Amino acid sequence: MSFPLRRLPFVVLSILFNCLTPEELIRLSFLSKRFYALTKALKKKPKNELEIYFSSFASIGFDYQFVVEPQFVVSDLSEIRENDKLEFLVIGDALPCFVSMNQHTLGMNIYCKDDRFEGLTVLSKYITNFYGIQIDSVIIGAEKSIDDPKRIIDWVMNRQGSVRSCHFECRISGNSELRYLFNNCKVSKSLVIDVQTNRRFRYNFSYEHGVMTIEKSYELRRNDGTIASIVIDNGENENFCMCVWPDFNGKLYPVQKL
Amino acid sequence: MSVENAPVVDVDEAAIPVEKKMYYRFESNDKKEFRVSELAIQQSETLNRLVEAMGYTSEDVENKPAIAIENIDGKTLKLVFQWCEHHKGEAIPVDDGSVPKIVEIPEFDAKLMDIDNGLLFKLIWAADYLNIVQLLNVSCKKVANMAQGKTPAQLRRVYLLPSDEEDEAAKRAAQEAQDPRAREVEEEFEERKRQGGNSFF
Repeated sequence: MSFPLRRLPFVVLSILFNCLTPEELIRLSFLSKRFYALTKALKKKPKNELEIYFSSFASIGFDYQFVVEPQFVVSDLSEIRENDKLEFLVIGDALPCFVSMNQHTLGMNIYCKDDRFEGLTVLSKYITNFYGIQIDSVIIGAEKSIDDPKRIIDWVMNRQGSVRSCHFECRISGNSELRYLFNNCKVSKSLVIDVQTNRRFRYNFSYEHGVMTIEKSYELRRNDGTIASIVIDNGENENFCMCVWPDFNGKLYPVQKL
Repeated sequence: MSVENAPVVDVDEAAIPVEKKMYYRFESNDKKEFRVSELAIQQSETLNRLVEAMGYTSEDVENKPAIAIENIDGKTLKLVFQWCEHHKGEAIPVDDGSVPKIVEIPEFDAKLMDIDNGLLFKLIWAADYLNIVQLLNVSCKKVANMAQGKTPAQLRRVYLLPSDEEDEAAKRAAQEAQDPRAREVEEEFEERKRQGGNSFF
C-alpha cells in the first residue's frame, strides 16, 4: 500500500529521512533529480564511516559496529545471477546499471556495463557528494586481479590524498604490491597488512614526524640475534608497538647481551 | 525548633485537599468532542501553550464551548488523544543528534498505528501541527520502515514518487490549467527567441 511521502511538510520529511539508514536514503535519492535535491538538503551527516571494499567483490557502505554486510555491491553484467529480479536505473546521470536487492543482507546489487571499478568509483563520488564526506577506509585485495590494489590506491589518493584506515590483503605475490602501497598510500590512523612476501622483502620507512622515545619496554630476541622492543600502550585502544633494532640511524639496541 | 524536637502529629490523609484532576474539552472539525486530561495535553506543545494562555478553570471547561481544532478530523484526533493519554507524564524526547535517528516503536504505539496509510498520513500531519514530538518520531519511523529492503522502483511505488519526466509533465499541466494565456505568451516568447527578434510586444 502506498504512502504520499511528498505531500508531507519539510520539517516532517527531515525527521523521516533521518529515521532512514544512510543506504536507504541513498536508494531514495536515486529516484529523481528533484528528490535527490530534496533528500540531500534535508539529510544529516551519518556518524558512521564510509568504507570501500575492493577485492573478491567491490562494495561501498557505511561501517556499522558488528555489521559486516555490504550495502552496495558493484559487479559486472556477467555476474548477474539467474534468480535476480532486475530493474534498470541510471545513478546520478552517470551510471546506467541493473539493480536488485539482496533480501538476506538488505544490500543492493548494482550491475554495470563497464567494469566494476568504474561503477564503484562513480557510485563513491555520488555518495561522497551526497553526504559531503570523504572515504574513511579502504579494504584492498588482489583476489580478482593483481592490478586492483594499484587502481584503487591511485584513485583514492588522487581524490582525497589520504585515508584514515587501510586493510591490505594480497596472497598472490605481494612484494611489488606492498611496496606500491607503502610508496603511494597515505594512511592517517590504521594500516593492516596481510601479505605473502618473500623472505628478503625489505622496506625502509621514512617518518616525517619526530622521534619515538622508549621509556619502558619488553625485549624479544629472535634466533638470529635480532632484537625487538615491545612498547605497551594501555591507552584507549590498548595497542602495542614493536620496534626492531637497529633504529633508522643505525643505532644498536642499547643494552648488554640478554 | 530542631526537627528532632518538633511535635509528632497524626495526619488524616482524607483531610488533605486532593488537587482535582483537570480535563479540557476539544472539538474536531467534524464536531466530535473529546475530554483530555491536563497531563496528557502536556505531550502537545501547541495545545499546552494554548490552554495555558486561555487560563481556563474547571468551571470554564464545563461552561464554555469546547476548544475547536479546525483542521483535524475526529478519527485522527481520537488516535492523537489516545496516544497522549497513554504517554502522559513521560518526558518529551530531545534530539540526541544520532543518525540514523534511534526510535523504538513501543507495542502500544505499533497497535495504535496499525491503520491504513491514509489515516497514518493524517496522524503525522496532526502530530506535526500539534507539535507532539514523540508521536511524530514514531509515526515517521513507521513510514521509514516501509523502505526496508526495497529497490528504487519499489520505493517509487510505496512512496508515490514521480520521475523527473512525470514531475515536468505535471508542472506543465498545472500551469496550463491555471492560466492558458500565460502558456500562450510563453510559447510566443520562445518562438520569437528562436527567430532572433529583440522586441516582444
